[in-house]
Amino acid sequence: MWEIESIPDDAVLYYRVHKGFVVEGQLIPGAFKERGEGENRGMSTDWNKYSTAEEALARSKKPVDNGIVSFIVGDTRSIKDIVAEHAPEPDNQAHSHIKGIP
Amino acid sequence: MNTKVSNYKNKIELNGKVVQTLPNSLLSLQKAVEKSKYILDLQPDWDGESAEGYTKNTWIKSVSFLCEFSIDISNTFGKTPVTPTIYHGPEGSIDILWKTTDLNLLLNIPKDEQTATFSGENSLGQEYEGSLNINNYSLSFLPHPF
Repeated sequence: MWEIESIPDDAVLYYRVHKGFVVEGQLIPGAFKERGEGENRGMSTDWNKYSTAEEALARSKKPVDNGIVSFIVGDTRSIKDIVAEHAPEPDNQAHSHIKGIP
Repeated sequence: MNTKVSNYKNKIELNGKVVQTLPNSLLSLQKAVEKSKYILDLQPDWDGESAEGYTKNTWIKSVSFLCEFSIDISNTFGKTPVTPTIYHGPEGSIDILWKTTDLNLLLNIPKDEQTATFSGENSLGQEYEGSLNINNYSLSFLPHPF
């Protein structure tokens, strides 16, 4: 298993968004959602230290129907109650969570 | 679910059944509600990643609340509320978004009997966050979108 690291504020997190969350050219609020239970609940993203945007997109079941949104970690953390933390998975060292989405 | 159907001229219907009615002053809300019927066409796994579908019950309770709330605002304050946009939300829920230059308010109505939640902020830097029982609410519980 990968070591959990501290993500610096200047890092970038890539988030996959399905085209169904784009309505009239705009991303809708429901695009940003946490999944999972307990400690493992969070919005899944990939840290740019270990993944490119293209690799993050390729992890979706149907890449052609998805796009990538990039978050600068420091900007994300500047929002009240939002946390960004590394949450590596056995097959994805880049996996990270954004937590605290209302 | 406790739904009171008002007796206005403009009907919102689903499968021939009247869900709610609205006064002429809320015609733009009627259009927004009609537009939101696309949500009912989203079947389970519509995103290819096991997303839930959306039930008629969730849509009806969301729309019923929104219409009631808008009528109450209109009748109480004599002002027409801003018309929100209605979107499909996470896990079978429905999102209602009021967005103006002065106010950004998102209300999420879950698919089950859990309370709705809201969050947002206004141009004065005030932030809102809370939960709401949409079957038994007071106008003072939610920021007023006008």
